[in-house]
Amino acid sequence: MPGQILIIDDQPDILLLLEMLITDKTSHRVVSTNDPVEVEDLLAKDDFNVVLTELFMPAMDGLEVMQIVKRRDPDLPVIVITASGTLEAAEEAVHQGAYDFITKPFRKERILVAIEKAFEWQRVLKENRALKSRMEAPGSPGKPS
Amino acid sequence: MKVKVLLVDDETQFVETLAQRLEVRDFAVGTAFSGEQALDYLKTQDVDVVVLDMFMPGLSGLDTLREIKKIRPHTEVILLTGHATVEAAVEGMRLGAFDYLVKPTEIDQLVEKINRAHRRKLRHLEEEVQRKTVALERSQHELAKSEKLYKSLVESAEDAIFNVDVRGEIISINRYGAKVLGYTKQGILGKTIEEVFPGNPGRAISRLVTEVFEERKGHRATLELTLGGKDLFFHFNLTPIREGDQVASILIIAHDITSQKKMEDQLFHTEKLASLGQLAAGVAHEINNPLAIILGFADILSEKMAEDSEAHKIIKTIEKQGFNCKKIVENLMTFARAPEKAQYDTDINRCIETLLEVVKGTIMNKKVKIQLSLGEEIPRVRGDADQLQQVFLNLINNAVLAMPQGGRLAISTRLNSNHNRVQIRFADTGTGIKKENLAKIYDPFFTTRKVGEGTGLGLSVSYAIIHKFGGTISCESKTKEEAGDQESGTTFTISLPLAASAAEESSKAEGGHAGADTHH
Repeated sequence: MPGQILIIDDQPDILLLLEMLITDKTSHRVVSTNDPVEVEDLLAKDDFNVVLTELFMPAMDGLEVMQIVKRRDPDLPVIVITASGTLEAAEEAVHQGAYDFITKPFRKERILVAIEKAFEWQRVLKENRALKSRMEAPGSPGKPS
Repeated sequence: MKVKVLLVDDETQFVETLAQRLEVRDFAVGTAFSGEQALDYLKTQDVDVVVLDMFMPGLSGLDTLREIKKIRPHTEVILLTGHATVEAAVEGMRLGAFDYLVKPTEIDQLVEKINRAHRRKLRHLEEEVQRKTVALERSQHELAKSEKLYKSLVESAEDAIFNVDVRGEIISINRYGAKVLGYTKQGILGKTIEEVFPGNPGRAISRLVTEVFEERKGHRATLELTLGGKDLFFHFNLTPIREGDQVASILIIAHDITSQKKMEDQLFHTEKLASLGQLAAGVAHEINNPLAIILGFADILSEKMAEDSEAHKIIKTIEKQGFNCKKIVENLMTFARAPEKAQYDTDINRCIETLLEVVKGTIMNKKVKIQLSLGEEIPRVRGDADQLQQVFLNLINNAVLAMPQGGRLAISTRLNSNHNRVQIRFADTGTGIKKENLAKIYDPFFTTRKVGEGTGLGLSVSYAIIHKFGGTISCESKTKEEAGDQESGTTFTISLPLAASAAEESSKAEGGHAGADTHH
């Protein structure tokens, strides 16, 4: 099922690359921006299934972008991509709730697999929530009366 | 010898009469008719006793007395005074007059006082001579003592201290100097600088000696010498010894700074790596971004081309070189990583064996024979197995590349005699490293390989890893020319401390062993 992906990176060439890569290989739609300050507005306007963000950007860092996303929708997976591939940066990002951490330069398979897994994770999570709420609803067959 | 007396009074008649009467009594008498005249007289000649009238026009008696004591401190002064001025006479005594007489004077009384004053002057002079003699003796003694002290200082100094004349010949040298140059103290005297320091260093010192003689000022220089088969660094300090306007000889103090120099080099190296690490961390981000773009688009393009096309081949080459760049950045990042704090514990033999399994099918050249001799019961060492394998892989890779015609790579491990470190040796029979390159092998980006074949980071990274775990890495090498009839090749020796747990066990075992010994 096609979904929508939001990509944030201060380098327009990276945006172009990721956009081409994703639209070439998948049926997902891509919205991208090189200004992380716009993220809030973009999230308000549209529904997204996965967010990809660079970690180090001059205007706002990736961890802040992630916080904005999580405030809006804790179930929206954020994949952090960065050119500074230190272990510490990865740990910190995952600790703060990143779904995955990818270092530049990357192989396209790494990006595609991460996106598919994030979609799957989001799907399972939503399904889980739906089942749970149905079970907890009054008169549901799962709950003894 | 006659006692010399100077009579000073403005009454000419009185002075002349008194002079006559004293001359009769065998005194040598001079006369002056004012204080000023008396002082002029005393400036040109010494007298034993001055008989001085207190009341004179011009310079008064007391002022004259003060001036006399300044010019002739040893001359005694007898004051002459009228009744009314006894107090002034007492004041005069306080200023250093010997005695006073009240006018009119009895000649016998005056003579007696003059004689007494003369005796006191002699006594004072004797005392003075005595004092000076004692002081002189004392300073001679001190001089001898300090000479002895200096001599023993020079003799016991751990510096080569020697004296060179204008012909460049050694005219004196201390014990250490003779020993370090390989001579006896007597045997080296008269030899020239160029005889005792052969080759370039000798010529350099000799040139400095000439300069010091010509310019008459000191010089300093650090030189590398080969003495007794060892390469040493000496700091030379040349000081001219002047006699009058001329430089008579030159004092040379040569201080061995070899160990200091080595430490500095090592420190310099570590600092260089550390600053490179900081640079790397910053640069990595800047390089990885464009690299991601290049590699990403190359990938997309390659899919749009027929696999057997020329364009596809070109794009694949771009990709391959892009990944090479990525590898360089990764290697650089190794420096930037902060030292991890986790406990490191590695079985070194196991680490080498698994690595050899891996490389057997890849980098190993069929013509290269591996000679493995791993020590038994080697304790675990401090270090991360993956990182140590990276070091060993670098060394094996270098060894194989150094033996294109084939050869032998001997890998061995052993526990040192103090049981506190493990030594790992990689000895190949390859082409060897040229002496001028040996100092640079750990420098980042130093490589003798063709562009694209080596990054020049392998040994820098190895050095950083080994030092991170408190180890050392050293290298000995002989090229074909240097080896002569013997085998050429390079040997790397790594020494790593034991892992904390192993070190504890080892010291426990030692303690137990010693305990058992004492029971016997």
